[in-house]
Amino acid sequence: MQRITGKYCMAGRSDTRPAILLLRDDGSLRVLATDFDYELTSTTLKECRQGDVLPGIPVELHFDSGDYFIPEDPDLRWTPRSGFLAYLESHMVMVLAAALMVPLSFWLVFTQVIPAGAKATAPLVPQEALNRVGRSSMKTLDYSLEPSRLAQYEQASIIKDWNKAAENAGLDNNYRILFRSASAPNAFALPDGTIVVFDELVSILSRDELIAVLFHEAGHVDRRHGAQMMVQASAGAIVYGLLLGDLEGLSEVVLGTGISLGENAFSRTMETDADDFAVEHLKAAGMSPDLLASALNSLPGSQRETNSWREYLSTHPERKTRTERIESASD
Amino acid sequence: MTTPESFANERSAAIEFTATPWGYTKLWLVNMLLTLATLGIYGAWAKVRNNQYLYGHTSIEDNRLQYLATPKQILLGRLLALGVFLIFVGVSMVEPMAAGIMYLALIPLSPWLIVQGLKFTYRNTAYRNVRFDFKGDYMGALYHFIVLPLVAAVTLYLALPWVIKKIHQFMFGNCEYGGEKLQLNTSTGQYYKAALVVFLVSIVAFILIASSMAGTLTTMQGSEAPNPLSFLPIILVMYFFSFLVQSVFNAMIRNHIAESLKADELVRFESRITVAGYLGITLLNAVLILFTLGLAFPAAKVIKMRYIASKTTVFLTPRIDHMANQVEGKESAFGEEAAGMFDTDLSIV
Repeated sequence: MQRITGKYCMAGRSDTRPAILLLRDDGSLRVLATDFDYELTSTTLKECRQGDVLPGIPVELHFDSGDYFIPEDPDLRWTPRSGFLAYLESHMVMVLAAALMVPLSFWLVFTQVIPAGAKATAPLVPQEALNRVGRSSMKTLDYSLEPSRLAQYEQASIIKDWNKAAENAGLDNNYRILFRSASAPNAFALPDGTIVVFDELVSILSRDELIAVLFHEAGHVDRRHGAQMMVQASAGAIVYGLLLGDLEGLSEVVLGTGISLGENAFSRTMETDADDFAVEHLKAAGMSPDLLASALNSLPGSQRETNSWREYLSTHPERKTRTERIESASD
Repeated sequence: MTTPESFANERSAAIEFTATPWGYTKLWLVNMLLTLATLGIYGAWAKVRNNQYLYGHTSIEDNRLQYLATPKQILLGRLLALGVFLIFVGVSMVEPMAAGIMYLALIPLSPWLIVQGLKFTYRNTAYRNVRFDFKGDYMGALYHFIVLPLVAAVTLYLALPWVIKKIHQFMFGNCEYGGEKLQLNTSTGQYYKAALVVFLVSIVAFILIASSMAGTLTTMQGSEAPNPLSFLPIILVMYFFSFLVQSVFNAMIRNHIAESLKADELVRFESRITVAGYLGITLLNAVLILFTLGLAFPAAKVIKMRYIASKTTVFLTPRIDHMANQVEGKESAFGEEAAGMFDTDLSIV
């Protein structure tokens, strides 16, 4: 027979009594109050419910009445095979595995699994949804963009040249080119096939270079990068909420930064994808792929020297890396 | 510093915190691994076990705090919150205009979420079998979390210390234990004193940051390429000072809150946190977290809790031995989980 010292607690009351639990080998047990030596309860182990087992915390034994007994000894287990989780949680092999696997899994989930999943599910996003996204994004963007100052005939001639190049490249042309003005030379694509070109870009590129940029933007649409980003952003937010919802303060900042760096890596692969698409179609249209490289080089800003650190912070790959890639493809 | 009145037959007790940084790290890591392996589902169990560990290792007079929420409650709350969140994400992608309206709808909804979340947390915390309870209502939350912050903004944040005081009073003064309401008799003057210190520290910070910024800008004029990394030291300095400022405020206010919180003839507290001590712990934790890329989060949490517990004394009267539980803990975890999902969690000072 085991004599276990501890404390008897009553259901829903703060009263506690120092007590001794007498446990027989057949599982029957009696709890006696230590101070007056009277019986508080008697039952069998089978009829009791064991509390959760946590490292360093005594395991409660709950009785039918709602009362329970807390032993003094935090290592005492009521049944021999209990506390599997506590065992895992304090076992070195498991802890070491977790210390390696947790960062690795995060890296895998955010830089590989979610992007790959997004890439796989992007074709499943219905075109109608993408069209709506495109239309409403354009509406929102137009609040901050100026109307184009290009003459009508110039816009028409760019569109005509583009249509011809697209036809020569065998590209299924359902793109809509829009002209706007903003402070920087840029172009972007929306998932419904709208490609927006800023006047500032038109003014610094030759016509052929502009066509090369349009092929690049068409690549984003064709490869459904917009849908991919949408799936990725929402999946990322959900996974982050489920896994790391409890984090607070600095940890949240550190991990959040790490994750967005990982996501930037994915956005850089989209840019390279779009470059490859452009090179392929420029060739098919009988134009030189070097046009894309020279368009990139005509953009202002002097990010010519390579800075490997900065590449991680960027959503676009270093220009040097991109132009080298394009030039090697054109050989 | 106000000296709280003592009760006639009180006895003093230390808060014993027996969790260890390494012990909690082990538990947290394994639970995180299981959560990852089950694609997040185990997260509900992990949350319960993490809390059970931290609460269970906190004891006053040999009685451990109890965390009584069940994983099932949390999982259900989480799934519900996830559903709502997905609808939000979906709508804001397809129709940004409609999303704007939905976010506006979230404003009157958020006091309800806050009350639900606080109720859930309080009611699932117990000491000696008696659960805590939160008695604040929707209108109270609306006033304290929507109206008062607007007042603070309108007064160019001059009213902010008073607003923070009111929010603390709402959160702690609506706490009940075994039918006994806690009172928080904080003084507005203490909040303004802390705010003044914070203001002076901020001015020093501003001067330092401004002078280093000037240095960086002049070196940048030479080269044509503005390197974004050259701003890194400034960002770090700004971060350091926001940390410093926050810690100073927290340390000063924490003592005041502890000493102003009591339930008549039942319990009162004393707190002896020092600004230097609290700041030291905060900086140590920041370094730990940065150098382990966040993995030291559980250790940092234990280090901070251990420090606060070691500086706090509880005074109890014999009435504590005969309290009766007044509440059940069966409500939904939706409020709390939604608050986590939409990142509107309250950070209790």
